Amino acid sequence: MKSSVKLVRAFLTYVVLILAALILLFPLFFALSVALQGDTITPHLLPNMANLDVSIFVRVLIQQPDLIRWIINSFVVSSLVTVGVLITSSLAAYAFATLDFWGKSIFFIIALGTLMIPFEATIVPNFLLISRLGWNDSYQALVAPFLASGFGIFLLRQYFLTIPRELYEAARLDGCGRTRYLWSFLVPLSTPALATLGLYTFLATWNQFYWPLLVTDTTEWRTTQVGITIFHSSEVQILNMQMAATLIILIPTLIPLVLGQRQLVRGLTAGILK
Amino acid sequence: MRYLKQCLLGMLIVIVLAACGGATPSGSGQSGPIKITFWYGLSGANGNVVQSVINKYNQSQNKYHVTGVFQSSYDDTLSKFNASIVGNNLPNVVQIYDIGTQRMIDTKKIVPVQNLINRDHLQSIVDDLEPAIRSYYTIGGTLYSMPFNSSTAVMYFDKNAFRQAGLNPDQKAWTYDELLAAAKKLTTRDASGKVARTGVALFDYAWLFEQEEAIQNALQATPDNGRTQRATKFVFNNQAGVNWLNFQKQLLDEGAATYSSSSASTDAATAFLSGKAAIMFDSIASLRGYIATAQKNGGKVDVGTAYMPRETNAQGRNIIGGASLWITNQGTSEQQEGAWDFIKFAVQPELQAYWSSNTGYIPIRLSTYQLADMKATLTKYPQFQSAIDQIRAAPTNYSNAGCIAGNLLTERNNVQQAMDGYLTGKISSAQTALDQAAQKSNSSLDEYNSALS
Repeated sequence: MKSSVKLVRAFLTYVVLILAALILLFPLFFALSVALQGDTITPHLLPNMANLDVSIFVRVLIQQPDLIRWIINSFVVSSLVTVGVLITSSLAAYAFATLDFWGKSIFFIIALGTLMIPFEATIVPNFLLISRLGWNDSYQALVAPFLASGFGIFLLRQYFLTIPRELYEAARLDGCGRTRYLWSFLVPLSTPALATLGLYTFLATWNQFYWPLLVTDTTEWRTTQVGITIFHSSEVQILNMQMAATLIILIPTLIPLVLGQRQLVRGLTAGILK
Repeated sequence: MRYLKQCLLGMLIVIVLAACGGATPSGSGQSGPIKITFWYGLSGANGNVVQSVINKYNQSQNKYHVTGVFQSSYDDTLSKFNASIVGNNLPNVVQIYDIGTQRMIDTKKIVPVQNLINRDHLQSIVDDLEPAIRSYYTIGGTLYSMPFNSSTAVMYFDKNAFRQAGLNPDQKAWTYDELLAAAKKLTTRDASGKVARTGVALFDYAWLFEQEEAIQNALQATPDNGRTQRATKFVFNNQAGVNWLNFQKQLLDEGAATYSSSSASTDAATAFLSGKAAIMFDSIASLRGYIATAQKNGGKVDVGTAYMPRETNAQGRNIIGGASLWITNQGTSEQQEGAWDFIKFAVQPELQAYWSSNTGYIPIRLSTYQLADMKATLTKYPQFQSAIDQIRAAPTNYSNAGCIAGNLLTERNNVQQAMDGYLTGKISSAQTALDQAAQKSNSSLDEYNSALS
């Protein structure tokens, strides 16, 4: 009696989870379906299984061989920005959380204040700087303005504050230097927060459109989001190439997700067993 | 963790290498062909044809080499152009859409094409331009940019549906009253009383509004639609505009049409091509896409084209839309020569025949129609003729040459909001809706004009 109730409950859980997964993944399935239906303005929900146009993915790569280069560009830029943000944010957050210095709260409020400034407001000064330095069409132009993030500082500072101060004092008593404390204690203990920040920064940088459009002038230096607009059909709504290209560039974003997933899950469940 | 220091060192080396690799070498000297940069905003299949035009040009001569850079969309090209003025890295040739004309003139970074035509005594090219197309890009007697891809609006309809309903599929021009009656006949219902096919699939696009005003010989802005001097006031809230809005509302009220609040033709096109609507209005440049999809869907819809509907006794003609090529005063004088050389190549009749045959845009040169390529295209796509006939239907005047103003993008949004408000019933009178839009557009125009003085 009891085991059959358990079985029913397990079955229902699976059904609910599968339904939820289907709903969440529906856009991807639909994109795949549209991509496989050939050049038509009126795609159906499910493709005609008899004549699937699988060659569309190859056609996308043939039409724009630079697509691979765009994926590499986006990957390099996103990785560099992520590493940069992690380093600058953890250093700043460490200072705000652990050290005491004059004007600490003022600086912190300024750092928080930068969160209120929309990116569009700083486009012109950033663009002028990049142009004057002659950094058009380069990785520096795509990376440099984003290497520090007020959000990252805030997130990590809050996380560092949850680590008990006694640990810091004990380490100092044993002769641990300040930098070594950050490196050997705080960072290993904060991997969930770091993974969250890293993943968020990676995806946000990957999805940037307007800035890469402004600072890149040649096809080789474009990033994925700017690049795939070339598949947008100009006069009629023929979507298959665009969908195929979108699916292709989706794949590299899954890599950091897979790598960071364990840390993320640990971060989500970290408070439970306290 | 153990190899972390090595990893960081490796990353640092990569960053340094990338920095070194990214910097463009300067002062390498001008050996080889002179480099011309060309920004364009056409994507998809038409973008590929632009690229092949560029390749043809590069192969045809050795003096200049044009590099085409795709800029995501018409809006983004203009937006990036404006941003790049401060950075001083403008292209040599750029493709900008029709409603960006006044803005381009106001940047003062362009060389009017007329100057080069006068200098090289090439008035014959200008005389050979399709008059309607030429009239759009000529302001105050000066041709500022060279037209490149032009199109106009047509009425698409399902010939099979027309035959079923006993309507004449060969009638070229329909008046509002005739079309209203036809739409009612074309609306079919299934057994349960639900509409199976509607007469007209409407959507919220200001370009069609502008077409209707031009056909009715109404000005959009004064003075003279901005063509003799700078436009100072919008007057599109006139009887012609009200007539168009009322016509659409009547269609909806009599159950003979559906309406989509989008400014893109997607919903209307999908309905039309799946046989759920018999009539829609769109650019002639979509013709091939529609024919291809109609065939793919089993050929039930026989795509035909006709003139845009009009009030009885309307005397005007359609406006053209699309984009043109602008030469910037950026770069060396040799680069500007190269830009002009490329433009001259792109408007040759043979190239226009190639261009039109592969994209479906209207050729800009009259002499193109005598070439075998073009004749073959017209035989293959007889529906194209409606577009050509429409833009030749009446002599040019300021109303049908098109409106030139600095804030047309905002103005179009205001008109679209007004149309949407009226057609969805939120605003009770077409005149009120258009008056509101005119008021908003006028204050935005005042802002634009005062920012320039």
